Amino acid sequence: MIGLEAGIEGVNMGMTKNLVIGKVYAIGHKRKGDFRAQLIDIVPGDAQDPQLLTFKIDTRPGSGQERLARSKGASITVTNVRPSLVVRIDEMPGNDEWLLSQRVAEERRKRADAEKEAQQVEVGQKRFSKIMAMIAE
Amino acid sequence: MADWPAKKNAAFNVHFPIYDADGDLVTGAASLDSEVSIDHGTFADCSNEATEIATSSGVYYLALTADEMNGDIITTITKTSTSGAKTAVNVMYTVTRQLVDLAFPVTSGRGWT
Repeated sequence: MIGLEAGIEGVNMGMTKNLVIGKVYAIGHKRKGDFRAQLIDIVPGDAQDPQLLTFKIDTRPGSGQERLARSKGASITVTNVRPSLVVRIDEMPGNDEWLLSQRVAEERRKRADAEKEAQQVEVGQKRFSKIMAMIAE
Repeated sequence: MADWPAKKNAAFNVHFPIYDADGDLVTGAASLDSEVSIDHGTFADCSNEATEIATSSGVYYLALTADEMNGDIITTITKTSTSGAKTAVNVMYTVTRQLVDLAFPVTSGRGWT
C-alpha cells in the first residue's frame, strides 16, 4: 500500500474529498453504476477532468461486479475514472484483502518509477556531498 | 469534414455496430459505458457516451474529443448491460495529415511546393 494523501477537486459533490491512494472506496458512477474498488493512482487527465482516478476493481465471477470486466472472466479490471462522472465516493469500512493482495501492471510501473526517482535522489545527494567535501578541502 | 484515417488531436465521431452472439445488430443497448485507451495506456472513461443512430439501427456513434484523439493508436471499448450484446471495440491509427490537408490547389505549408 502506498498510502499517500491525495486531495482531489471536482468530485461531483460540490466539495473536495481527500482520497488516499491504496484505500478501498464505494463509488457511485453515472455510467458504471455502484461498485467498490481500490484507488491505486491519480493521473493527469484532460480539459474536462484535469485529474483521473485510477481504480483497481474486483471483477471476478461472483463478485457482483463482473459487468465491469472488459474481457469475460477477467478477475481484475483497472480503469481511469473521470471525477465528473462520479456521483458518490465513500470509504469502505474494512478492507478487501483479496483486492489489496493483487498487483497490477499500473502499480508495478508506479513502484518502479518511485524506486528510480529515489535512486536518482540518492545519487544526487551523494554527488552533492562529494562536491561539498571537495570544497571543504 | 470527416476523413479517414482519423486525424491526431482532432475531435472525431467514430461509428460502430453492437452485435449479439448471432451477429445481429442490437438496438437500444442499455447502460452504455465507453472507455478510451491512448497509445496502449490504461482505459479511461470517455468524456461523451455512445448514442444510437436513429431509428433502431443497432449502429452507434461516439464523439471523441481532441484530447482523447491525441495519440497514434486510439482504442475504444463500449460495454452494455443488454443481455447477449457483445462489447464493441474500435482501433484507430491516427495521422497528423489527412488527404484533405494535401489537396491542391497548393496552400502554403500543405503542398509539395
